[in-house]
Amino acid sequence: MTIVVEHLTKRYGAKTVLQDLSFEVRPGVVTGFLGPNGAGKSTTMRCMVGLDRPDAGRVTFDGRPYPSMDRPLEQIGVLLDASYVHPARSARNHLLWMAAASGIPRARVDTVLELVGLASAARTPIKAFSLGMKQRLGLAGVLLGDPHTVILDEPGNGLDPEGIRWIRDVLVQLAAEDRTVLVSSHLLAEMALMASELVVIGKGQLVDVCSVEDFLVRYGDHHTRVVSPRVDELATALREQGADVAPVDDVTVTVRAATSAEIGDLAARLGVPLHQLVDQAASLEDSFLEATAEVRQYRSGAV
Amino acid sequence: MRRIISSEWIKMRSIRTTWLFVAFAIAVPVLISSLYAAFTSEIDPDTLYRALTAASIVTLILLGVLGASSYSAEHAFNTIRPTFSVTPKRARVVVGKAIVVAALALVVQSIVVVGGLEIANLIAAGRDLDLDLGDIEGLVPAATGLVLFAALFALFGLGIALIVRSTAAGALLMLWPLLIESVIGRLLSLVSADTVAEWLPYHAGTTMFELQPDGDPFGRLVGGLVFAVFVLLIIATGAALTTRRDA
Repeated sequence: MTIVVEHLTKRYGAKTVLQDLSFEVRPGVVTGFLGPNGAGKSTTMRCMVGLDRPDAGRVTFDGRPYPSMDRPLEQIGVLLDASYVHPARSARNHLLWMAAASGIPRARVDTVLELVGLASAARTPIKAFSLGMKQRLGLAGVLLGDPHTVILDEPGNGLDPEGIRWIRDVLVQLAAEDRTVLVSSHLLAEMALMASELVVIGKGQLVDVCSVEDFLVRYGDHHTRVVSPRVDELATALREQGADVAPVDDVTVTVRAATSAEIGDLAARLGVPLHQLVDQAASLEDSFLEATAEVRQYRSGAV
Repeated sequence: MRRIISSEWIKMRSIRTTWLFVAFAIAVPVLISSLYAAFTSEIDPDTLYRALTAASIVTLILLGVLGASSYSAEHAFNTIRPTFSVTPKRARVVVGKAIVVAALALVVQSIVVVGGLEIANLIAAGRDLDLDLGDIEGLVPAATGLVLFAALFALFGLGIALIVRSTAAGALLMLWPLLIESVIGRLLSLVSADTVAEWLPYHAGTTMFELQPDGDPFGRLVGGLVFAVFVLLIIATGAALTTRRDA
């Protein structure tokens, strides 16, 4: 199932939350929906499942809008927020009402509770649950209808690293079964763990659609750190070759626009000893800030 | 539709507060009519019914709040979002809730009427007092009216909640008969428009459970219809808003 978002625009009063947002989500990979807090990720997801009505544009699942579906749970599993539960209700009853509304047999409720490791807490009121347990319950709700499309908003919230790894494994497994998986996060490190493709938004607008690797290359600040007792000599030679060299201290420089192989070869030719030659890939966090900063500049420039 | 009703019933029954409300809604009028049967020197069947009816105000308010919270609690805890994700055709959710709320009210108020009268009957027998419920003229139509009135009042609660989406505001509006109708009624009587006041919906609805409605300006049936139309309008307004608004 392919999710197609077309020219989505959503305003709350005078505030434009989404502006002409278009992208597609394909099956078979985990697609990360990335953006800082307030970028419009949750609004986009609410528009996807018909909870919010967009002012313009639409979202379709293999050509069908969500609100036209009779029993969407069996096709699309959605978790917008794990806290959307009644605290006095037990986990099992929470899943039972969802199952009943979709005609899903009761036995399936116990199966998914087992699957997410909540079988022993099935009859406990949800108010006694930790956030991590609620996330597990939320995921149980997503899996209830055995859907071929899964949409999760910040499922890593409140989870420890082990919990995030667990969710990652579930999502990767679902994608491997050729399901469509869209998962949002405002944390890049978390996103890099879970997703392989990215849809990046900032200020309600599309920033980029690419793989995690491409995103790093496009927005990342790749440079090489070089330490040598004769660093000035090497720096001059590098500059002659068009590299961008910035001194750090007496023996250290950072080099851009030259690969570590090129720097090493040049040093060997010159007979300059190297004490360190380290590739420094920018973290996803930095790439992310750079990518969304562009939108910010564009926006302020446009006003 | 059966799936939605079953789902809404699971939501209703899986909250302990529901059963607390139901227990109070039944206990209060049954207790009042039992006390009347236990402590009066002579049991007047008409007075017994009127005591039961008067105490049923508690039942009505509790049923109204239950009706309201079946929607407003979903807003308070944001479960309305998963509800509408699971059933995107929101009108179905509203109808499902209405059926569950009305059915629960019918059952509770029936228990109140039958239980209240029968327990009084047992107490009277225990005291060797004469009590023939058959003496109550118009009991069957009036008691039926009371049960139907309770269902309508619970639906009124649901309708108000669909519009205001808040348990507190909903509960406050449950006091409609006291807050709004009595004020309007008094104002109307100040300008000698008492006939108009008779048509205020809650007031009109109360003829449904009077033992011998005097038929002025209308009887049980028309009175009930006035209240039913009013409740239907509230629910329809609420349903229209619910399908349009962002959840």
